[in-house]
Amino acid sequence: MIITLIVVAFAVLALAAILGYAFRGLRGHRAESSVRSVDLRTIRVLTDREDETFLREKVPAKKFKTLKRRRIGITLKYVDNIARYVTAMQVATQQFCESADPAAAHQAMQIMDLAAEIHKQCMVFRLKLTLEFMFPALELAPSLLVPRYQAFRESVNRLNAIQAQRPLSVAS
Amino acid sequence: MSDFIQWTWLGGIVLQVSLAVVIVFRKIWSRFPFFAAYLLTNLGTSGLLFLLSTGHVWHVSKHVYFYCYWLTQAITLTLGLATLFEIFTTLLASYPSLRKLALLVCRYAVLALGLLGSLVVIFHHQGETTPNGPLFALEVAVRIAEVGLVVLLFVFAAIFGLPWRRSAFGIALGIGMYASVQLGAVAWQSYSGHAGGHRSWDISTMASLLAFDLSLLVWMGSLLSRQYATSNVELPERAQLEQWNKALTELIYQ
Repeated sequence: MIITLIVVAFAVLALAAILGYAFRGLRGHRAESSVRSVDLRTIRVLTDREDETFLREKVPAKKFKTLKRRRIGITLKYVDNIARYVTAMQVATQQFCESADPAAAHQAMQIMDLAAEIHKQCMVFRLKLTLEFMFPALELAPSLLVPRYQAFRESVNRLNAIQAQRPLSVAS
Repeated sequence: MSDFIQWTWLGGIVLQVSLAVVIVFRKIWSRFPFFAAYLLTNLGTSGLLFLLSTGHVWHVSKHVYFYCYWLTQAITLTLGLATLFEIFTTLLASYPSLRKLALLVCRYAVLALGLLGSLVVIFHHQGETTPNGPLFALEVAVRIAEVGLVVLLFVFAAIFGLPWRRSAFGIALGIGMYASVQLGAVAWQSYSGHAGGHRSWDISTMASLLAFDLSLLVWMGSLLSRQYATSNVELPERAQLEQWNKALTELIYQ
C-alpha cells in the first residue's frame, strides 16, 4: 500500500508541477519578462563585503544575522532580475538563430550559449546566497558572472551591428 | 460506464486521425521523427485494440488481446521515451555549452528514476493476480522514468530560461500530462486488481483515456500554433536596458 501511495503521490505532484509550469508560462510570462529599473546605490551597499565586515564588528551578532539575511533577500531579487534581463535578450535573439545570414545566426547562437552560462552562474550565485542566508557567518566566493556577462554584452552588440537594418533593442 | 469508456476511446481515435493529418500536411516528422512515429503507432495500436476489444471485426481470445496489448504498450512506451530525448535535444540545440551539463544531469536522473522504478517492481503490492500483474508493475516503473524526465525537462528549461518552440513545449506538456495520469491509474489498477471492483477499474481506465484525449488536444493546438511559445514577450525599452547594463556592470566589477 505504501509503495502505491508513494507512486500515486509522485504522479499527482508531477502533474501539478507540469500544469503549474504550463500555466505560469501562459499567464505570467508577460509580467515576468518586464525588466525593472535598478537602484544603483542599494546594489552597491548590498554586495559590499567591507560594509558587511563593518556591520559584523559594530552590530550585535543577532542583529547582524537579521541584517545580513535581509540583504541577501534583496540581492536574490536582484539576481532574479539579472536572469529576467538575460531571458528577455534570449527571446529577442532566438529569431536570429535561424537567420539566413550565417554571421547573424552564428552570433545569435553565441548569445544563446552565453545566456545559458549566465543562467548557470545565477543559479550558483543563488545557491551561495541561500547558504549564506542559512549560515550568515559564511562568506562564499562571488560567482563568475563578470567574464560571462561581459562576453554576453559584446555578443549582443556584435549582433546589433550585423542586424543594423533591424536592430535589437538592447543597450550598447 | 463501459459505453462511456468506449465512446471516449473512439473519440480519441478520431482525434488521432486528425492529428495524423496535421503531421502529414505540416511535415512534422522532419522536425520530430520520434514524436510522429509515436503518434502514428498510437493511432494504429488504438484502432487495432479497439477492434479487438469490441469484437466487431475479429473474435479473438483474451490471450491474443493480452499479447497485442502489452506488445503495443512496449512499443509506444519506448517511442514516448525517445520523444522526450528528442525534445531535450531540440531544446538544447542552441546551447552547446549546456549539453554536457544536461547529459550529466540526465544520466543521474535516469539512474535515480531507474532505482525508484526497481524498488516499485520489487515491492509492488500483488493486488492484480492475473498475468497483467507483473507487467503493470513494469509499466509503473517505466512511467516513473517518463514522468520524472518530463519534470526534469521543465525544471531545466525554467532554471536556464530556455525559450520553447510552441510545438516542443506542447509535445512535452502532452506527454507529461498523459504519463502522470497513466502512472497514477496503472499504479492504482495494479494495487486494487480486478478484486477492487469494476467501478474502481473503470474509473482508472476512464481517467487515462481522458488524459490521453486531452493530450491529443494539446498536441493539436501546439502543432497548429505559431512557432515560439515566448514570441509575445514585451521587450524592455532601450533606455531601461542601458540603465540595466550600467547597473549590472557596476555590480559585477565591484
